[in-house]
Amino acid sequence: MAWFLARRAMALAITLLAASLVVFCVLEVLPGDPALLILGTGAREDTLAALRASMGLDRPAWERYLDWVGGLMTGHLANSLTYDVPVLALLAPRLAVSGPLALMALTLAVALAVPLGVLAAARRGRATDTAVMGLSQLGVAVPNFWLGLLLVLVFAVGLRWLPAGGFPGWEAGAGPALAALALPTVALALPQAAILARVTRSAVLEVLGEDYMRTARAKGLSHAEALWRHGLRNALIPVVTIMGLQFSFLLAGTIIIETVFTLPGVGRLIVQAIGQRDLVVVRDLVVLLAATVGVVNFLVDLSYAVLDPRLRQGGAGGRDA
Amino acid sequence: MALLDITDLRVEIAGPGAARLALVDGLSLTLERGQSLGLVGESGCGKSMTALAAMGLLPPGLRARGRLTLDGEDLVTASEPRLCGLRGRRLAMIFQEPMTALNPVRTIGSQVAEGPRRHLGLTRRQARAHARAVLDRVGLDPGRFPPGLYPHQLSGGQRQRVVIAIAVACGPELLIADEPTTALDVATQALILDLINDLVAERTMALLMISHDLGVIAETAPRLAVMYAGRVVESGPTARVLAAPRHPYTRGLMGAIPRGRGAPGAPLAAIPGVVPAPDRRPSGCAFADRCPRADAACATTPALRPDTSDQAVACHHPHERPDPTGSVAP
Amino acid sequence: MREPPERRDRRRGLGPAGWFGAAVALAVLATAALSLVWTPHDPSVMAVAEKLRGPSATHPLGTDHFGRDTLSQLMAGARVSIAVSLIAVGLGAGLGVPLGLLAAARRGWVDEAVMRFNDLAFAFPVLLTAVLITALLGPGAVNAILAIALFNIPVFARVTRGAALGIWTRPFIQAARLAGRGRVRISLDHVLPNIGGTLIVQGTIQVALAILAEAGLSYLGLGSQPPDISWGRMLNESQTFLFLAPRLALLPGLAIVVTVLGLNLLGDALRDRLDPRLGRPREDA
Repeated sequence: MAWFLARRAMALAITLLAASLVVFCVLEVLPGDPALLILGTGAREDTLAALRASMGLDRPAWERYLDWVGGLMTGHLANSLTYDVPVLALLAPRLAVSGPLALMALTLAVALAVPLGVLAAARRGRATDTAVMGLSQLGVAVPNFWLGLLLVLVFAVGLRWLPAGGFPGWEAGAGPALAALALPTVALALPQAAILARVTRSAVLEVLGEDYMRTARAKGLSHAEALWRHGLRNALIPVVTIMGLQFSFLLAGTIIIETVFTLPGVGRLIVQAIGQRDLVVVRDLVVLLAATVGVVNFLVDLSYAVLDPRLRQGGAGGRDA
Repeated sequence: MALLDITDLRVEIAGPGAARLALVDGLSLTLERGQSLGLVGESGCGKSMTALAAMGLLPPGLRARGRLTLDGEDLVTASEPRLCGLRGRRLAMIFQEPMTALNPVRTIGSQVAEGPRRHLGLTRRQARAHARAVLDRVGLDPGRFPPGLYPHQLSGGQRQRVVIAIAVACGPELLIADEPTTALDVATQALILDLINDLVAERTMALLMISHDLGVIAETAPRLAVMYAGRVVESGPTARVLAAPRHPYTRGLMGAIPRGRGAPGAPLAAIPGVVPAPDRRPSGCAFADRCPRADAACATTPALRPDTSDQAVACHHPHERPDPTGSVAP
Repeated sequence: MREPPERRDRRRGLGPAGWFGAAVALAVLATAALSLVWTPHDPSVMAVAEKLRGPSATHPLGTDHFGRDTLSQLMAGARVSIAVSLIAVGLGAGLGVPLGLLAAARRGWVDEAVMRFNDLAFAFPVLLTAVLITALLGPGAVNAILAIALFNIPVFARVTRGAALGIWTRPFIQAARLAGRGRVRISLDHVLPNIGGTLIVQGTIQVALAILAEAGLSYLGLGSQPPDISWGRMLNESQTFLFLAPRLALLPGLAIVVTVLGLNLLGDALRDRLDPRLGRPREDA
């Protein structure tokens, strides 16, 4: 098990390193001179050169790459080109929006999808199953940002229950802040829930056919008890896998949902940074998002070990009687 | 009153219309308290379906008709909660595949303790102690095999012992064993059969031993019933039936037992053909098209007719009974 | 509990949902093709006097804030959405399938390298890739295609590799190897035809995903640029007038939902028919 985790951690580190290299190289060949961008085309050549030198742009690329990666690891990020503040300072308040949004959406998606998927599997072929699967088929087809617009139409424009967008900040109190995040959370969560419900259903169906479920029933457990005590944990293994894979879509979803609801989050920061060609911010954020995806998948691997004892011990195979 | 009384049991594929297929087609047998009965036949003859019907655990899409009573209580019509109260408590089952019959993510101790906790009203702690004792009894000494082990840490034979422990944990009156040794190697097979025999004797359980292997039946059941295509074709005391099989199918089955040390892979003196699928059964005697003795009379279904010596056969042309004064050697 | 012994019915047709999906896919394709030669109005001609009109005889679905005919725009939008998605998925499959075949045929370090590349590519969600590419090359339909194609390569590589590995264990492949045929020839002659069904199913689903991704990119302003029209752009532009004319936000969204739903239903039905992995024999009791 320790070996398994060490291997996964190594793979994660290598993936992240490769990702940072890709991002750096891609931005390196990008046409456009950051110094020119800051000073404008009217600037004098010696002023430009001085700025390039102060930004370290005259140094060789590998040196700047090492500096950058070192800074990423120690938390010393460079200054944003447009705002001239450290990226970290730019990032912190936005993470306070995007982080809760992503977590709440994930929680809502799981809370909806797992019970519905289990229910559909238990009622396989009956009306409940058809309804759940029909809804999920629809949910998979709905773009989250359009769902966001619909939610705004109904709950903000029509019913006037919730704000249509914007974020008052956490200092305005948990109530208004959560109200501002409610519709974005739902818009982000429902399409995810649709996918997870399908996966849960098929995982549970698979488990229902297992011999150990019959053993559990032969002990006198009812159908529901057998499913709850013996089926769910086995069924969760594929569900968690898909959850990990879906997480990157969830993050990508925050980029677009934050735009729909004009939330000052990380995703919106990226879109703005691109608009302003603030490459320092872009490269840091892209690597940050890739790292988040990597870490989440690492956590997924960890959770296998919690769910499945066969992965916890090293050698399988029986002892001899 | 017999402990288990099955009369004219049919297991059908549920569905509308009269063309329902019957996997078990009019099966009758009785099993007295504390006695053992072997149910033998090729795979596909309906043995397992009979067992699952008795447990009330038929796969979805199948359903049982006819009478199937445990101590006078009809299991076919019993409610699901009632069946849950009986399963594991008064009747229990050992399954064929020890590799898949146990939940891979729960410890063996917790899987054994679950039944007693539910049926015997034990506390969590008591149930755990009970599970330890039962595991010890089936040969998994807690010193070497702590209840905290997971199934993947055990061999096939050890896992089958756990499955047996789960079945006998609440002291059932009827134990159904469905091919309990088929998946095991020969040495382990003998040990597991001994264990089942010992447990049955010491707890005066009734045993319904299901196997395709007449050797297993001979070792565990003084009486047997031979099944073919969903019905019993011959029954009686094991020794007598094996000594003088009257149904041509029983004869064929015995020819299929490997005798002595034949070269590995040498063809068995088996019956030509295979068990017909439920939708391909000939009308009349289902064995007719594989039977050397079949003739026009076999177009009607023969009834199971007892003879004077406790042996019964369903055949229009049974083999003759040997001289009744003759010895009945096993 | 085992599966009921009833045989999994190998349906001849696609089933009602599958036919519905096929019909939707065909209708969208036909609309996109039709828009090349005919739309009720020129989708990009503005008539400010006619702006934000409701449905009428001349404008069956009304007009937008520049007075452009919404129906015509939807038809032209179908063209862009379909073209971008098909080209992107085609490119992704064109690179991903050979990679997957190669990984399955050579195993060893080639396999390892392809799979690691996959992991790397999976760490970047499609929108993130698009963000990087637009940062690099600027927004536009071509760059959206590039981003979506890039996302599709690892998907196809993974699916192809998985299916191909299964085929490589088959006896007829061993026979071909003994006959001295090279791995590349075997991959093309024997493996590829046998995983065609799986790839078609995956392709259908990927086109559906690509339509969603294209819409998202265009909505963010990273995809097709004016004067090109796409469903995502229509949604982007409609947002300002959400209060005045919710119709403008509803219609392109519905077009996306129906198209994606149809493709997914078609994909599911094709999977039931074509995917050999579902046709495994069942053991009876």
